[in-house]
Amino acid sequence: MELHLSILIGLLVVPAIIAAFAMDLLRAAIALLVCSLGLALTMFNLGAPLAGSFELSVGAGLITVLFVNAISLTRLITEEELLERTKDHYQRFAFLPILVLLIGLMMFEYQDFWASGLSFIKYNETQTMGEILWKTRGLDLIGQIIVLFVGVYGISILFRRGKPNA
Amino acid sequence: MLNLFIVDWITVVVLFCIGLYTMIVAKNMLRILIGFEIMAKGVTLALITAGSVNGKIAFSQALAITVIVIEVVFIAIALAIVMITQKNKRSLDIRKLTKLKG
Amino acid sequence: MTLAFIFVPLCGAAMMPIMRKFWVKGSTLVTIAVTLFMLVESVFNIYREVISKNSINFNQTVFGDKVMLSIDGLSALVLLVIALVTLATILFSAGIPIGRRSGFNALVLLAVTGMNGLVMATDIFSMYVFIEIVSISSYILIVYNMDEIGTEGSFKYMLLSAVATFFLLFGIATFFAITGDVTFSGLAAELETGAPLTQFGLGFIIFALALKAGLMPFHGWLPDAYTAAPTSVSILLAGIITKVAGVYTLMRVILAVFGFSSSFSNLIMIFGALSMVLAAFMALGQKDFKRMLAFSSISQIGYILMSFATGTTIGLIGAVFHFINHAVFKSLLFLNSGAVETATGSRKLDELGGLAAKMPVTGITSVIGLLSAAGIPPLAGFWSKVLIIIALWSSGYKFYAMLALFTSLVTLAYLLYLQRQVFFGNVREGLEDVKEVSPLLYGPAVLMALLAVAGGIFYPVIIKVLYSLSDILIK
Repeated sequence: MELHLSILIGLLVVPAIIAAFAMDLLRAAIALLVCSLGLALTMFNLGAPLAGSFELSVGAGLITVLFVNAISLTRLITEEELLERTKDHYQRFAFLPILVLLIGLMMFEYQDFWASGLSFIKYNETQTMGEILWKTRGLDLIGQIIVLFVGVYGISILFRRGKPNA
Repeated sequence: MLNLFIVDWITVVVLFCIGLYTMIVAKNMLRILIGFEIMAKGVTLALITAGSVNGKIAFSQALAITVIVIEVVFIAIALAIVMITQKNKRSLDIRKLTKLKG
Repeated sequence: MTLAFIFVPLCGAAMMPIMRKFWVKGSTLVTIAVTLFMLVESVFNIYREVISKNSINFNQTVFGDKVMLSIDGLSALVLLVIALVTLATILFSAGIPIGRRSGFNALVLLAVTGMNGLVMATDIFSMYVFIEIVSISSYILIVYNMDEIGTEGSFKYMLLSAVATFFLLFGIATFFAITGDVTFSGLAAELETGAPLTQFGLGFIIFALALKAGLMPFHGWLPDAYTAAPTSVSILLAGIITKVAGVYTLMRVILAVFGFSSSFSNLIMIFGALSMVLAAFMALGQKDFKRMLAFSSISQIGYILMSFATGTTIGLIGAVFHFINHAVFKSLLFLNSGAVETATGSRKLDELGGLAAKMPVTGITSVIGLLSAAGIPPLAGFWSKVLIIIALWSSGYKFYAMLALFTSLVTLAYLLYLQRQVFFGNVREGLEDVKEVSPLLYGPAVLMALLAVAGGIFYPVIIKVLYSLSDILIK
């Protein structure tokens, strides 16, 4: 329990806050990578190893590479713009702790509201995850293939060479 | 098991709020996408937590994998659009997108 | 049968790279062939459904031991409307130059695949997957011209749509935690509607779907996305994508899972009324053709959802009839706007004028679209508005009924203003040599206008078909 809690807070929430607050976008991308790692470890701990490894390879690998790519391709900040940005960047996040406090107070107030629906039925699963993904959720698999199709077409269209429109 | 669920669920809510707040407040387009990613992690954790407390962990893994695939395609398209904006306007400031008004 | 609706457009989209290498014009022909096939198939579906009278679960695909795709009355109608609007879009886009046409056709076919799967889905998570397919296709389609306005509209749409997606997923996760099931029938059986956690999850899902539908006060992305999209994409987006991804999903979730509990029906009624009235007034002050039509769309979606939220049979029939009518006349108006923009190169109302003499077909079809949208007899829009007002009045929402009547007058006002600005009046300088657009561009408009007139004349048939299809929906 303590291990789980420390993974959650240390590797999931704190990097998320760093990613939101960081001045430099590259640091935010690395913080996102650590966040992915934390999520994968949490999923391993909760008994979902397949989803954890998937998140590790896709979230921590693919998405971070895409982000770092985009950040390095769009880097053009001059010195004075950097100075001006620093002033109001942290001011904008001033509201966040107040918001978190408010939400925490609200959730504490209505404690019995939240606890009233919390009687969970325990199911026994007879199928492995592979069978579920391919048989029961087969339509989702078709949907994933279609989404990947759309993505591939989209990227090839959005990065086409030549005149964009006649 | 119940205690673990409450801790996980509170983490989900915290991640969701941080991501949502970043998406609303941020000025640079890439930071908005980082906020989007944080929310995505929160929602994936919500699905897995729901499965773990229910006993249907394999089912929720199937759902979570689908969500991850869809997020990746979304991010890819979003980054492509960000790069097109960069090419057109030389700046990623979302406050400068003011051509459509009214 | 149900699989054909998903796999035929998918194979059509997969053939596009091959078409691009060998025969570019062929891509449009393949797309038109696929759309015609879907049109014929869906008409056949409705015909068989009405004739056989065995409406419960008449068309299903079963994988393993679970039902995955099923077509019932509402789905069959929406499939027909999807095929119709897509046909109009493809015919229109064949007449104007588009860079990389095979890619455009492929994306439209993939969006159609997503929409077909959406209306046939039987559980809420598959619905989410297909909503994402449709949304991602539309993000790319809006940026198709790669100019500044396109990226701005698309990025705003993406932000708000992403927020909606996450709220929807959070609601799904909540329900999955409580019940362990994501299918509609499983959720309906196991959720107790009064429990506070159920209301909480329901609130999230309704917020997400209302944001995708463009209800006020969540409409921020809609005018920008419609205006920023290229001409042919606006027709698809306004005619069917917003309605299927937002309005149809809201209807389906409430009908199949939750039923009409009073607190949320009141909420949707209030949002609907707000959309209807506010959007109509905001449309009065617009100076851009497409932006005014976008606000008009928000107003009509308010009508549809208000009628649906009453929970009666007449309300449902009125809502579905107005859904179909709105697809027809809104596509017609956007087709006309596209024709005007192609012929004159401008969309601003102060720069246009007196085009009725130069572009007669566009002018006449625009008048028909205007009359149907405002609800003037004997066109189809009149009957659906009458049904909506009767439904509101007879379920006790008398104030809302009078509001709907009043907003019809405001609708008539701004659409007449639009018509007068663009088509009547004196021809402005610089527009003397404007000619009528090619038949490919006004052909779909004529088709839609004929449908609007036919719907108005043959309305008893349509209402009878809707009535027989609605028995299975209200439990």
